[in-house]
Amino acid sequence: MSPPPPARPSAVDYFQMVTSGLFTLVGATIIFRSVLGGGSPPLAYLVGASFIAFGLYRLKFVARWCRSRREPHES
Amino acid sequence: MEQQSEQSLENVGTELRRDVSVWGSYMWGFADVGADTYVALGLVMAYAQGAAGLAFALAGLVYIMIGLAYTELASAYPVAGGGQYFTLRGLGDFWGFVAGSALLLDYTIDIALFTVACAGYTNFFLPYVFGVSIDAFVISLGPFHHVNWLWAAETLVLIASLVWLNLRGIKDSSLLNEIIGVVVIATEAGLIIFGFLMAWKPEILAFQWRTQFPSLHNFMYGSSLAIISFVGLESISQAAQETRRPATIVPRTSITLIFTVFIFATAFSTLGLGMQLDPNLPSWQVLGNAQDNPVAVLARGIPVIGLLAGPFAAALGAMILLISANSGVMSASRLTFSMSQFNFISRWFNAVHPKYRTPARTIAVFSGIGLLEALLSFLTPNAMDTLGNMYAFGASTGYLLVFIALIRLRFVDPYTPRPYQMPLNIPVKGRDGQRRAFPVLGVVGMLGVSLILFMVVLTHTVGRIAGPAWILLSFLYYAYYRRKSRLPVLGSLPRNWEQQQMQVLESAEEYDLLEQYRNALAERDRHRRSAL
Repeated sequence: MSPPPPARPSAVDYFQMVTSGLFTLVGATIIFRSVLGGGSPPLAYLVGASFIAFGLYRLKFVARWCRSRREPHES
Repeated sequence: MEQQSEQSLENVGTELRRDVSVWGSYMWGFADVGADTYVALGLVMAYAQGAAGLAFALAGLVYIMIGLAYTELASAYPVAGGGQYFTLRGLGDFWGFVAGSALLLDYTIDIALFTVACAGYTNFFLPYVFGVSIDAFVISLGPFHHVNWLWAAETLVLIASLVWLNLRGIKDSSLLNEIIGVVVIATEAGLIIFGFLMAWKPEILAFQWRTQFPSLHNFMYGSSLAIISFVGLESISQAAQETRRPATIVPRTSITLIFTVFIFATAFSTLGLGMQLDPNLPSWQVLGNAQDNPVAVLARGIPVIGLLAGPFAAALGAMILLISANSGVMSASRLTFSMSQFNFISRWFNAVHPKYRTPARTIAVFSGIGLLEALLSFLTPNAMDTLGNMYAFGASTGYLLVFIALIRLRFVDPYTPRPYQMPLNIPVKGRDGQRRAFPVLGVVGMLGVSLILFMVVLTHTVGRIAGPAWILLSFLYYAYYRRKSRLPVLGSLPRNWEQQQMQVLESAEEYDLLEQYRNALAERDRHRRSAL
C-alpha cells in the first residue's frame, strides 16, 4: 500500500525544485562554455554532466508527483 | 553520592532510542561528509595544484564505492558500530577490533580537525573586527615555533561545548544538525550556481591543468588527502541503530548523500581552479594558502555577490564544521558503546546516563582524546595538515576492512535480507544450494581503497607513523583487557548472530525483512536436513 501523495509541496520541496532546475542549467552552461573555450580538461565535462544528471534525476520526482496528483490514488 | 551515580549509570539499560527521522539521518551524514570539502579544499589544492579537480574526482570514485558498500551493510545490519560491526560479522573479533580502532581514530580526529577548522573559519572575521590576522597570535613554546595560542584556545572551548551538548542527548544534537544543514546546503548550492554562472572561466581551468600539474609525489599526497572530503558515511550506519525503519530509510538517505557530496566536492574544486582569485597567483595557490578558510576565500572571489558571500560562507563554514565535529562526538561515543558490548573494550564504557540516556562516559573520554589530538597538532608546523594525515590513514584502513567483510559476508551470510545490494554481481551457487552474489564493484572498491592506503603510507610522514602507532596502542589495551577477562585475544567469542539479527530487525520494526530472514533460515535448515 503506497501512501497518498502530499496535497501541497512543502517549502523544502519548492527549494529542491528550483535548485534542481538551476543545477541542470548550470551543468548545461559548464559544458557549453567548455566546448566554446576549447582545451578544457575532461573534468569540466564530468562536472557539467554530473550536474545535468543530478538535476534531471531530481526533476523526475517532481514529474512523478505531478503525474500522481492527476491520477486517482489506489490504496 | 559519586558512587551512587556511577552505579545508576551501570544499571540503566543499554538500548539507544530510535529517534532519528529520514531528514535527521540524511543531515547526520551530511553534517559529517558535507563539511569535509570545507577542510579538504585548501589542503588538496596546496598539493595537487592544477590537478586538484582530478584528485577530488579520483578519490570521489572510490568514495562512491565505499558509500554503496556502507549502504548495503548498514541497511542489512542496522546497528550502532558501523564498519567495526560489519568487520566483526565478516572477519571475527580481532579484525572487528582493528577496524573499530581505525574508525575510532577517525572519529577522535574528526572532533579535533573540524573544531580546528571551525575556529579557522571564525578567524576569517578577525581582520574585519579587530584589524589583526590569526597569524599574529603565533608564539614559540620551547622547541615548538608555530604555536597559535588563540586558535588552540578557541578549539578547546568549542570541544568543551560539544561535550556538554552531547551529554544532554541525541535529540538536541540532531535538531541542531538539521537546522544548520538546511541553510548550508542552500548556501553551497547558491555559491556553486552563482560561481559557475558569474565567475568561472574554462580557459583558466585549462591553463592551470596544462601548466600547473604537480609532481607525482605531490599528486599522490593530494589525492590521498582528497579522500578526507568524503569521510563520514560511517555516521549513517552509526545512526542506523537510532533511525526509524532503517532498512527503508538508510538506502534512500545514503545514496542521495553520496551523490550530493560527490557533486559538491568536484564542483567546488573545478570552480576554484577556473576562477581568477588573485591577478598575480594561480587560483590553486590562493586556495592552498588559505587552508583555514578556503571556501570563504573562493566565495569572496565571485563578482557582485562576493563582498557578502565571503563572510556569509565563512560563517556557514564555521557552523557546518561545528556540526561535523558534533557528528564526530556522537559517532565516537556510539562506536565505543558498540565495542564495549562486543567485549573489545571494558564494560565500564557500556553505561547510559540515567537522566539523558546518552553514553556519557564514552562521550567524555573520547572527546577528551580528540581535544588532546587537537592541542598536540598545534605543536606541529601545520595543525590541519597533521590532522588530515591521521584522518586519511584511519579512514582508508577502516574502509579496506569493511570491503573485505562485505565480500566475505556475501558468502557466509547470504540469508540476511539486503534491502539494497551493490550493483554488478556475479551469481554463484553455494554447496547448500543457496545462491550468492559475488560483488564485482566491491572488489574494485577494495582495490581503490588499497591504493589510497598505499599512497597514504608512502607519502604521509605523520599518518604512516602515528596511525599504526594508534592501532598498536589500541591492540595492547585490547590484549590486556581480553586476557584479564579470560577471553581469546586473537580468536573470536561464540556469538548467536542469527538470534541477534532477528532482535535487531524486530526492534527496528522491519517485520517484512524479519519474515524473509526466518524463511531463508528455515530453507537452509531444510536443505541441511535433506543433505543428511
